Amino acid sequence: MELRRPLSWRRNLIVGKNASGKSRTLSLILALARQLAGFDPPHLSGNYDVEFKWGDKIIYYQLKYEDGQVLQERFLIDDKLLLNRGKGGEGKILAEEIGKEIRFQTPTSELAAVARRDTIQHKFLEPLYSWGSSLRHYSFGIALGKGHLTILVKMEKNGEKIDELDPNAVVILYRRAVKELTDEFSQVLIRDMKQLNYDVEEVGVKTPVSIRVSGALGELVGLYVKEKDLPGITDQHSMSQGMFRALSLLVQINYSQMSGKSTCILIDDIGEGLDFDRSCRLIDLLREKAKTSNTQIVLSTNDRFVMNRVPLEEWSVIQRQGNHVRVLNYGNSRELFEEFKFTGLSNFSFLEMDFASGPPAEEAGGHE
Amino acid sequence: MIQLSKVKYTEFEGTPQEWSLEGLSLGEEISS
Repeated sequence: MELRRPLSWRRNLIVGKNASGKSRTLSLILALARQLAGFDPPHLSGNYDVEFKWGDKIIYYQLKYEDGQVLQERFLIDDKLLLNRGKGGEGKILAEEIGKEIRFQTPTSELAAVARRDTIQHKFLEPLYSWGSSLRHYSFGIALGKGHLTILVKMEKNGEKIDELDPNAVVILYRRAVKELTDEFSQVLIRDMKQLNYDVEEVGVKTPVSIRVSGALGELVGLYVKEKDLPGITDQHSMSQGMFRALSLLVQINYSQMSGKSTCILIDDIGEGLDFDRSCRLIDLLREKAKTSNTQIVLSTNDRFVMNRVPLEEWSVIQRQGNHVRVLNYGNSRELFEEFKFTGLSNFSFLEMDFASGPPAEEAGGHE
Repeated sequence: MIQLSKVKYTEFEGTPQEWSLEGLSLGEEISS
C-alpha cells in the first residue's frame, strides 16, 4: 500500500541557477496577489492557472488578460463552476442568497473576482481577496529601508496612509507595531535578533546619532539597536547591511504574524549578505515561524548555505529551457530526489551538478 | 485560511516575448 505524507505547505524554497527565473516566479505570484487585492489593474499580458487549498476545499482560479483587458476568468470550488467570464467582460456568477446563477458584465479592465466582491451574494470570492491583500514580498538583496529616514518622517507628519506593502516603510511600521502590539512586539524582535546571534538588548526608534542632516522639515528618526557588548546605540545608518536587512525583515514579518494579517510571504534572495552562521540561523528562524503559525513562506535563493540548510522536500528547482521554465520538486520527481539523497552529497550539489537534468552518467571503463 | 498550492503561468503567448512556468506546486503530497 502506498503511503502519502503531506509536504509542509508552509515552507518552500525556490532554487535555480542565475537567470533561471526564480525572482520572476515570485514576481508573478506577487502580481496576481496585487490584482486580486484590487491594488493593480490587469497587466499587459498574463495567463494564470492557479490552485489554492481552502480548508478541505480546492479553489481553482483561471485568469487570462492581454493589453490590460481580461479575456477569460473562471473560478471553481472543487469541481463547481461559480464564476465564468469571457470576452467583453460578460459572464455568469452564482448568487448565493438568490440561489441561482446570474448574468453580469463588468469592464474588461477589471477582474470580476474583485469587481463582483459581495459578502452576501458571492462570499466565495473573499478568500481570494484575503490571500491577495495579505501577501507580502521582500527582496533580501536590497536595503529594505536602510536609507529611508526623511521620507518616512514626512509621511507621518502629513498623516498619510502607511503602505504596509512597502518594505522601505519599516520605521513607521515599527512605530505602529509597538503602538498596536505594545512592548511584546519589541521583546519578540529582541528574542529573534538574539536567535540570529545579534546580542541585542534594546530596539527602538530615535534620531540617528551617527549622521546629522540639516534642513529637514521635521524630526528625523530611524531604527536603532543597543547591543550588549557596546556602550552606545547602533543607529540605522551605522548598522551593517546584513544586520539591518535581518532587523527590517523581522519587523515586517513579525508585524504581519502578530497582527494576524499574514498568509503568504515571499522572500527573494534570502541569506544575501549574511555570513554562514547567520544565514543558517535566519533560515531556521523563518522555518520555525512558518511551522508555528498560519504563514506560508516561499523563499528563493542562490546561496549554498541556505540550500544546505533546507531539506530537499521543501525545494522547488527551477529549470529554464529557453523561455520555458519547469519546476521540479519532491512531489513530481520523487525518484530523482531520492536518488540524489543516496549520493550523500550536500543539497547544494543537487544544483551544482545539475542533478535536475538527470544523475551524472557513471564513468565508463577503468584503469588497465 | 487559504494557501497557494499550484501555479501555471504564461505571458505573451505566441510572441518572441513568450515566457511560461509550469510545475510549481507548494506543499504537495508526496508518496513514501
